Amino acid sequence: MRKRVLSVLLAAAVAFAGLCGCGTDTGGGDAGGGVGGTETPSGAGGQTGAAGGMGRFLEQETDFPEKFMIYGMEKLDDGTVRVFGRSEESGQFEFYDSADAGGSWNMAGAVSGLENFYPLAGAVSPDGTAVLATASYDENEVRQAQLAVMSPGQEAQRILLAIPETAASNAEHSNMIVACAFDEEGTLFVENLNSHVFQVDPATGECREFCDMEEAYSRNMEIAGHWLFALSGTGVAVFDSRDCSNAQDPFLDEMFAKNPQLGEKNTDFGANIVIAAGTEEDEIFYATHEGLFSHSIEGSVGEQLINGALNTMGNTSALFLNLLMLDEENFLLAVHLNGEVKVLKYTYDSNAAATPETELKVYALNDSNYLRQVVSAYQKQHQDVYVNLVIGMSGDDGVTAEDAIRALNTDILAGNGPDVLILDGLPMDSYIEKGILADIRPLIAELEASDGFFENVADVYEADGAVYGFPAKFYVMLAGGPADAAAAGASLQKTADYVEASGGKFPHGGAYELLEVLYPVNSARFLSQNKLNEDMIKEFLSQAKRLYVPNEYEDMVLYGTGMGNELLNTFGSVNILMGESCMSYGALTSMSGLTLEAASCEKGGFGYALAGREEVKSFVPYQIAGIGSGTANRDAAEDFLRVMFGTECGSIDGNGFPVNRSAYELLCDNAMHMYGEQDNAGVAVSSGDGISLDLVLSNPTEEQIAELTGILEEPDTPAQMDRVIKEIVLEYGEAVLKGDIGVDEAVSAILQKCNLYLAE
Amino acid sequence: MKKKYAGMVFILPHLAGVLLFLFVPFLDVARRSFVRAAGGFAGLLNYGEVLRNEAFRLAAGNTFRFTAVCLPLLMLLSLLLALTVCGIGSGKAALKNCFLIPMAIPAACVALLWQLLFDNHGMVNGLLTVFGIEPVSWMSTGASFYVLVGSYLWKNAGYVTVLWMAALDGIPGEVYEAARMDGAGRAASLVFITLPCIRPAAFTIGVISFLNTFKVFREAYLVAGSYPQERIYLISHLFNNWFLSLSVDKMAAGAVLLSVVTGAAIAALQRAWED
Repeated sequence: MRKRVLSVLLAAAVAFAGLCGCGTDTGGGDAGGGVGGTETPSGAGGQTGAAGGMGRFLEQETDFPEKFMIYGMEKLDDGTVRVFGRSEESGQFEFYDSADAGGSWNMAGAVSGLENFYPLAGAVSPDGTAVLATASYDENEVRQAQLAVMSPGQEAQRILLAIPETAASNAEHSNMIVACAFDEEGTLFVENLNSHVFQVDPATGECREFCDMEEAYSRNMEIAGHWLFALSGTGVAVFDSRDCSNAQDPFLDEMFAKNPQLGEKNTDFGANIVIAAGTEEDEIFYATHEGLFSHSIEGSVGEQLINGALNTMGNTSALFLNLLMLDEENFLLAVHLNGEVKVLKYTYDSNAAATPETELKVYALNDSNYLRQVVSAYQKQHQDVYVNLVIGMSGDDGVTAEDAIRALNTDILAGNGPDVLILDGLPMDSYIEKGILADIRPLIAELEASDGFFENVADVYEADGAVYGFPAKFYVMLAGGPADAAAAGASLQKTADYVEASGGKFPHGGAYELLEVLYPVNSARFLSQNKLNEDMIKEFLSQAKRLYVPNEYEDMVLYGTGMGNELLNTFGSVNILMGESCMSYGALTSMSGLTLEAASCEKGGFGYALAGREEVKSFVPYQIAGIGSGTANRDAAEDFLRVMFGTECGSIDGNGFPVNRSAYELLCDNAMHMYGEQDNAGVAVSSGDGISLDLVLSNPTEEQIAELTGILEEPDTPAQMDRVIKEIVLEYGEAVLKGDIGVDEAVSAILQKCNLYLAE
Repeated sequence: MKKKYAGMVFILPHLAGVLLFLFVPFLDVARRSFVRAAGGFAGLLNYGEVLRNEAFRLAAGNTFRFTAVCLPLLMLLSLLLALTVCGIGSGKAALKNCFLIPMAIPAACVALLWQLLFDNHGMVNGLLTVFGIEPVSWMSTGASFYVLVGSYLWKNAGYVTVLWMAALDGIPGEVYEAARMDGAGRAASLVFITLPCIRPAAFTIGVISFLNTFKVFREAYLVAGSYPQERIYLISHLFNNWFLSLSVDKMAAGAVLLSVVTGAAIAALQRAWED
């Protein structure tokens, strides 16, 4: 009997041990979602991110004047919110006040006496006075730091700052102010380019050194209440502005150590973090792309009040200018986004669900600024939906494309597939064949009727009356230079002939980069009847080898078509003017790229046209999106695509041109006013060997826009963007260019592998 | 009878695990093999498609060839090693441990070793150049097949040798002693005593080695990726790639076919042994 009981117990133990391995991991696990992708913070929509409850801060854009650059924003003693800045339309410096917590804005007065004043930093004090710092030069061309002190309707008082000599490493930088701010008592502090912070008397210009952050290379300073934060790419130093005592805050130290970009500041457009004072003695609030947090100085936690993923804060293109806590339920945030300044108000709504009940899962293999902008724009319009953006390859976890696709497919098979798929890099044809993607033809037809499309691009994505994936943007590859160079760009062979005949250099960095630039031009010809065309591959590699010259950039990716998560221009005739190449060749992806190109062309008498047009007229699709056929949120997914393919997001410059025609027209319209009424901006370019060049960038003319439009309407074939084929061709192509193998050997290996892939 | 039931109680949890995690999923795979990926009954269409698929035929052929070359080689080589090691008196235990080292080396390290050895500018070509022999493009020509065979033998020979040694140790010494007294030499003892005695173990070792031939995919994948030189493109490569393109229908049909062939091979092996 005892033996039997023992047997049963042992068997039970074995069974238990075995089944333990099958349990669900409810522990920490990988917050980033493992190889399934990196998910943006979720669920923290409400107070402290508690799921299920009610109450959340909702975002609302205030009725703040357009085209106005903000230099300072402050809550005055009487509760009025005051903003100081410059109107881009009038060119004047003006004060705006809001007596109803950002509900409405009234001009409090303009400031005179600031002609030809180019501010480097500014601030508004709690008593409503504003200051601007700039650099001026005396009769001996010695740089001086100058301060302008202003009140509404009055003339600015200009004072020279008497910055004391310090043991700074660069005396030239001492009089260059990079940040200024008032503490709660109205004491002014400025930081110079040498990372020294000074306490300033605005009446006399007298400066007293407050702290030296030179070792930390600080370029930004924030003040919240009486706490002064000297921010840098390596960390943050916290001081009490009243007595200069240094506070130890390991939480902030760790946060800055993990996100060095928090300490960076773009002098003209803002920073990645802004800090505001709270109501308690040591309480601060800070806003980053993650959201809005409260923190107690020297405390150990940052409590999330607002999830950035649910609003504009999460848009990584946005830079923050100012943050104000109006009261516990209202915050104001000034941001610089897509060339515009907005003042956003966050108000706590106790009736809103803490976490939006509907979750829209958007999957992309690679991150992109454009996608982040779309998510942000969608989130702003649909505050009842939470967008869970899953990035397959976040870039910092060593996950390969295959790993990410495998994880995605597992999710799809398990019925947990995404609602929206960004198909760039994914096996789109296979997904269509397997019924993974839903037909979005009705949505496309609706947008086509309302906005219109570039038909040459849009038509490619319709097959048998259905559309399963559609690109939000596209770009083209151009060849240009003197008339014969632009003509030579018509085919790869002519291009190589021209470069050899001219004795010049084809513009390229390393071998792989050269292939990346040439691939979109020619790759549409690689495939015929589901087989790789041997002659086309051979021609491609042979011509690439003729164009390639080994150089010092071999192992560097200088400006590939995808750098980081932003699509960049690689086309630039400025290289010809600088004597670095005999022609220009690459991708044109933005209107700002066009203005630079137009300026170079005007100076050099150059022209440009679609590259490879005699062989195949191809375009490169970007951000092809589709809807998962198994989605339970079809309406939300369609709304997301409406935003993605729509006018608002499409008209943001950069990352290619919108397929949406109305968005393109708006983009052109905006571009024609890119440099304001002044109509131009100067840019100086210099090369390592001493050649320098001054270019005048102007708003694109109607003729230039028409020329670009003509070029964009030409291509009717998408470049071969199949991930596997591209990887194989570029891998062997690089070996050919570097001389490791011959063209014939490479072609044979490429054909074998690609045909195997196609046969599967 | 009671003893029999006690044994069943011990087996039951594992049997349940096998049923739940292998047999039931396999039934689902079998079901999917008759369904189109986009839905809808397909009958035998998926099977037809797989059998006509060039990539499947190539991968199946390569896998068969690899097994046909590796299995006899491995069993013979490891048996010779086992006989040699069993013949030496001391140091047997230490050698046994050494034999298991290749099994303990992670596939990623083996892949790295491959690259160091068989790259165009690798150590093997360096050595060939020293002797005035033309370097070989090991990984992009048919030579890659022999690299894979070598890797399989290196990785598994030690383990299989240990299995053979265990079988050899099970033969009672008295049998050899009696044979020696009857005038049998070493060769006669090998043929008439050793080989018949280890025959039951040979079946198990054969099946384990056969199943291990499928595991060589890890090294091949880590070195040459999803699309290696066509001679080392195995059935596992194809399944991996079909999963990437979500070709579940083809994958299911292929898996059923593979199971049938593998099951038949094992059954044939068993029958041959029993006969």
